Amino acid sequence: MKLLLKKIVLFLLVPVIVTVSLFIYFGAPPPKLSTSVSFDAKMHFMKKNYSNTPVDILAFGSSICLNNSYSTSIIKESKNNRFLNISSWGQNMKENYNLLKIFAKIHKPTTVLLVSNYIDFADKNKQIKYDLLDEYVSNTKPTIYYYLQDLKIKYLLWNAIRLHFYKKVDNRFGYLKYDKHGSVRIPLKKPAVSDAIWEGHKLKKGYFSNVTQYLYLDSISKYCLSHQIKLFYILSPFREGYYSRLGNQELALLNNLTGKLRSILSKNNAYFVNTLNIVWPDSLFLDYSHFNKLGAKKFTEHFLKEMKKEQLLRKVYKTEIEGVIDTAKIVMRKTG
Amino acid sequence: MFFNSIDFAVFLPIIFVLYWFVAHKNIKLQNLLIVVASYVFYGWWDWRFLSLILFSTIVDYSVGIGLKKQDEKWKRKALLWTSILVNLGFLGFFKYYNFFLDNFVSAFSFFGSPINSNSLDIVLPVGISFYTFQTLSYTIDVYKKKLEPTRDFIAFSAFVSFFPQLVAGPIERATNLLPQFYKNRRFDYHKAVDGLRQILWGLFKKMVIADNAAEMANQIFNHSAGYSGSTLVLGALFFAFQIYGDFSGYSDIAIGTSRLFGFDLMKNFAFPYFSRDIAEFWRRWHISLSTWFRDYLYIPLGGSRGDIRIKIRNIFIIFIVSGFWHGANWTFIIWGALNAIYFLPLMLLRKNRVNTNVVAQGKYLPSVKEFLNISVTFVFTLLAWIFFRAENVGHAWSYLSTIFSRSIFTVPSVVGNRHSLLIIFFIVAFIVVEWFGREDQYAIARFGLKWKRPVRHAMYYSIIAMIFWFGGSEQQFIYFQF
Repeated sequence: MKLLLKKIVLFLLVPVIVTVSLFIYFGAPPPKLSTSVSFDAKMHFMKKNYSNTPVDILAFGSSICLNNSYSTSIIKESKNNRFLNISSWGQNMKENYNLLKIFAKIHKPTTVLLVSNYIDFADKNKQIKYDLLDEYVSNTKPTIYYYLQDLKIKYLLWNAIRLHFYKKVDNRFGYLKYDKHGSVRIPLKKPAVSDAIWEGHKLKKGYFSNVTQYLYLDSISKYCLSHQIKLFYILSPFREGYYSRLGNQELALLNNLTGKLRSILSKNNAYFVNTLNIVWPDSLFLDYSHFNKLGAKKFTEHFLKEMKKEQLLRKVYKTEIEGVIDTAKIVMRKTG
Repeated sequence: MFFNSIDFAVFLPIIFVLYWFVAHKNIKLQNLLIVVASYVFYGWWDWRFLSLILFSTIVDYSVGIGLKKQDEKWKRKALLWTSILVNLGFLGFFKYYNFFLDNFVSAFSFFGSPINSNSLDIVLPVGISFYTFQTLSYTIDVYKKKLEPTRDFIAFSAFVSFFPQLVAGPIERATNLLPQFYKNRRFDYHKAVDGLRQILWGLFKKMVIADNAAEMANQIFNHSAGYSGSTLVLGALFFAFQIYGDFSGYSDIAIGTSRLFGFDLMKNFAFPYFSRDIAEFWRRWHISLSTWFRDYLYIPLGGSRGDIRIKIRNIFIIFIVSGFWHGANWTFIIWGALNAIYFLPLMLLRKNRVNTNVVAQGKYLPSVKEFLNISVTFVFTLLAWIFFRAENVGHAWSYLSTIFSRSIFTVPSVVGNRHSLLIIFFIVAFIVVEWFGREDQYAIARFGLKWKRPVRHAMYYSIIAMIFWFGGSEQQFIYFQF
């Protein structure tokens, strides 16, 4: 009996040693908080670097926000170091809303950026365990607890291997090395993307008719309004070659989207910055909608200028309106 | 808890160590440990159903004692029928109440008198079809005086609830398993090692073959209207290997686990897909159930004695009841009836006991005739599996009619898919290993035994790596729903 137990222990030692060695070599993966490796990696990054840190500007979104927001420009503009990019691949409005509630509570931002386009209104589901996530980023329990909640060694090992390559190989579309603030910049002008990714997919009505996701955008803007957070929605553009090929129907869909967004955001005092009205050369892009490093810098500088303009316009408008109201009050008092 | 879960991986070593280190000197303590472990194992699913198994145990234990004390025939029959009614009553209620109610209502509606009914939201207790038959074998054997009733309640409880085979068989006979609870069990190193090998092979069959095949089978069956005939054939093939890998894999794990504790369970599968005719298939598939029906239903009905009408009646009863045992759906009944139709000609022509040895025994390859027989038998089995898997009879018919259409000559749509090609590769490799191990208890029973230890261990590590890396998305054991 003892001989059998001894042999079993020695036999099992080999795969255990191999597995542990693989984890050491590839690095510990994040615990399984969702079904998305990119999401889990971002949450892990947040916990490691920004636990309970106050932050002025939070950015939410999908890979559009992840790749298109240039952290250095935002920091320079805001004149402080307190910017955090909480975006991950395929993050839609519903997920943005749920994450906003969790992270706004921790970081108490004054401004929220949503850098996004139509693709973020799709109904993709990452099956995020929000309650567990809330505890995880709030540091209420030791990290090992979260691994034990869903201990799938194969999933964790596969993620460790994938993340190791995503962080190393910078000429691939799926690059995941974060800068200090959680954004990702892909260095090369045009990495090894397939023709299909470069060309992009056709705009279909289905992408624009998902009522639920628009309701979540409304919820985001209401939340920001009630918590005195300035919300800026930046409608991210397409590369020139893609945009110029769009037919009338597709342009109509985009116009419709723009109108819908403007209406939802203005209702809740949020700001809308439309960058589709400018031509963005192909040389600034990785594919049809994601900027490379140079493109992200130019785009970010552009939308920061537009944000300032919008705020100024609103201030002037508010001042003018207040001026008109004040004048009207004076007139009414004089005339009785 | 599932055999392929972390819970079981923690549970088993704890029980194993307690069994052989703490309780080893006292057989009653070992049996008590088995009862406690088995109730914990079963209660892990749903503790509420522990009362059912306990009640069934108490009733059958008492019936056994009563049968010993009674000599009068009618009293003995009454006791036997008490056991039968209690066990089949539970089974009937939990498994078949809604089926009979729905069909009753449909029949009334058909004749123009619709009636209101309320189907009950009944949760099927896991393993009820298995342990009720197991305890029934005890009371029937005691009634027939084939077995002395036991006065040892703990041993009897351990027999009824023995965790390795409690929820999905093999359905053990009291004559085989119960006496093992009276004997002193000494730790046998070689038996335990062999048990571990069988567990490993069972896990491979379940996690690599069955779970991967299930993903493809589910995709094709659930969207069968959108696929060609050739793809539906592939779907049926995937299901054939899903159900075989799943069920025989579970049996291997159950038998292997029992051997760790010094018990020998009956063989439940003997490479049925290498059968040369349907009669041989039924001697090799779910052996514990088919022999149960043979001994407790077929033979009491007269078996193959009597005139031709009796023989035909008995064959149909056996196979239809067997189908119905699997589930409360007309598809299972049709599956059973189909197998009866396949079997009947062999029985009537007295050719049902022609192929009793292992196919191509002692040879590497089958003869052309054997290969053709195996292929034809497999095709018939496959057609029947379509009814077994289909959601309802209409689904099965439409599935079959698409197969037997011109679209069977097109290339299956899943073939270009890398994942499906990988699964097909695993299945082919699996068939090869099963073929070369067909003369043994399980395919890898003697595989590599003569190799040097590092090479043999490398083989085990390869199997573990395949289970770890290629194990499909977790699927419940199919027979848990029965």
